[in-house]
Amino acid sequence: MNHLIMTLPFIAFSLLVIFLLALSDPRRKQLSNKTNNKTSHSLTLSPMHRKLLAWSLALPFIPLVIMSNYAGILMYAGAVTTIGWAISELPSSVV
Amino acid sequence: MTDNSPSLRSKAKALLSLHSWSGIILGMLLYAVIFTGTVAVVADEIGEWSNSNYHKDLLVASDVYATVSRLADQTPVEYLDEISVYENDRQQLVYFFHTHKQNPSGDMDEYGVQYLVNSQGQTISKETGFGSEIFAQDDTYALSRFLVSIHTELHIPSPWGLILTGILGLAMLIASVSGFMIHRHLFTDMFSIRKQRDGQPLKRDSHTVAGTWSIPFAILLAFTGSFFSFSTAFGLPAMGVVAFGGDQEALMYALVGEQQHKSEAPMTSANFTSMVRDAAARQSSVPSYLSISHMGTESASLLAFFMPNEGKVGYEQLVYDGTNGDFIEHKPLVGTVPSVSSEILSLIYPIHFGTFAGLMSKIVWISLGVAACYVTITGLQLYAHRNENKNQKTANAWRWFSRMCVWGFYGLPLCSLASAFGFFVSGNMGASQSLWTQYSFVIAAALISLVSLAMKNLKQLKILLLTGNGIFCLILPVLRFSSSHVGWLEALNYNMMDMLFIDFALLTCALWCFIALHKKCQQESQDSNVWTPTLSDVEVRK
Repeated sequence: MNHLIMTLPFIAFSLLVIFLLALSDPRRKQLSNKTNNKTSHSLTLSPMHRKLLAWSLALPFIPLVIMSNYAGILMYAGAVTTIGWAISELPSSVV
Repeated sequence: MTDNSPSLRSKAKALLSLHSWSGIILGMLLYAVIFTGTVAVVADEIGEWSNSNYHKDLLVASDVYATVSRLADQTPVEYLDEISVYENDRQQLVYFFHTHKQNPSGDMDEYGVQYLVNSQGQTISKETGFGSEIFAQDDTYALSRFLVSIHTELHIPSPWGLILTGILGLAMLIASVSGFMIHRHLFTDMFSIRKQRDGQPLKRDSHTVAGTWSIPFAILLAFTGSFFSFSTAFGLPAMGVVAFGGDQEALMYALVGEQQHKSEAPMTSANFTSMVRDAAARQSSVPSYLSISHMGTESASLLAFFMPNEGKVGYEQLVYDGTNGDFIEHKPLVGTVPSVSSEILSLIYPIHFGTFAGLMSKIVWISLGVAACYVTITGLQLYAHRNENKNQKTANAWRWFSRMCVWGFYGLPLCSLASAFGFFVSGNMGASQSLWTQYSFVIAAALISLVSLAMKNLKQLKILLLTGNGIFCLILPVLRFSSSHVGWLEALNYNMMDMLFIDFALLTCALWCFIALHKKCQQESQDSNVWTPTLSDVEVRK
């Protein structure tokens, strides 16, 4: 069970990173601005920072590989997939 | 523009056609397989839930050796070839004394005597027959077995069902790869959803976003699913013909990694109970099942099968010498020596069903299944919506397609819930649960089909089916409680997490259905409040 609990901080980290990526996504902002959306998102990140943020999602694989926690690797990859989908599906007025 | 632009464009067009038509033709069946696959991820939990059971770890807690010795005395010698032992979902140990022979369908099968032994060590029942027949009539697994069988074979006779699901897996693979190749802005559109718009743009965005995120796992699950179907339907029989001249028995011995002709010289077997306890201590968990071979001979052995342990993904099999109780080896899944192919093969099942890390990995795998269902649904809806707005002639045909989508998307979950309803009601009435689980599904499917054909208004049909889903999700935990009288407090007391998980999952689904229903009703009332001119209004204006 410990090897699974170990993945939880990584999953929380991916949630935060994907949330930030969605919040600073220029295309999403552009679509959101086309409506009478009262929520103003002030977070703007340069493409370089966004790239770095996106690549940081791969960082948890390093300790998981070092610890040979293969179940954790699969768990983390699956969680990133579903978190990414769930956050993208939220209306742009929310994220 | 470069010179090869037109050819690239035509290639993209061809890929788009491949993506679309593979989806349109096989989409509904693919949805059925993906939806039931999502349910199959928690098949073990459904088994525990449907019997309000929790595992007592009887394989370690009881004296396996004493029971096996007692039952062996009552069993014909030819069935002592192999003994399978596992704990079922009704706190009983199943002892199946068997040999191997061809069943009436011509397949190699287990044949022998099955005993059910309760936690006090008393024999409850004794049955003789082929393993596949005994398992098919076992009410303990009636619900989970029925739902898993839709996923693996769509309840079509073997091997055609397996071939069809294999083709569907390939269709999913084609759709995933072609979807990946045709999308020009894969990463830039990863978060782009026009929720403020309705209809085609929203469906297109939802399809693209869900598809993009789930591409890696869609490819992985489609490949492993196809492998399962084709290896059983084609691979193994073909290997049997090519490498073993059609001798299925020799093939099975080679795959299992056992010598075909072993010494049958009598010799007292060592204590199996201490071997099982030693295996449990080595793996820090309880084995899922045991297989005792050639008991009472000098070739006696015991194999303990374990689910993936701490951080691992593949299964573990520990082998003991049955004559002296010594630990021999961690046996590979296939063959006699460790190999890469055996390692890969041992990973395929846990990766496909997400069974490598208990409930936590299963929750992630269910989410992946829901995402894949969503991609299929939005893909089909997108095509129905796009073509409905074309000329009148094609629009009528695509309206039928839209109706079929509603029938399938809302109908299949409702039929599955109805089969669980049939399972509990027949159990309470003392009827055969194996039969009534299937009948309930068929009756619900027939009723839903009739209603789908009879109801002209598609929105009302959606509302009706959604209400049905919500009500069944709400009723099932109550029915489970009425059949077993095991409440949530008692469940918490005995750490019955699987049962609680399914109960709460159903209640969450019920909540989701009623929220969706509320939204749809609100939308309906808004639509009906929009003023539309009638003939009399026009005359008054004139």
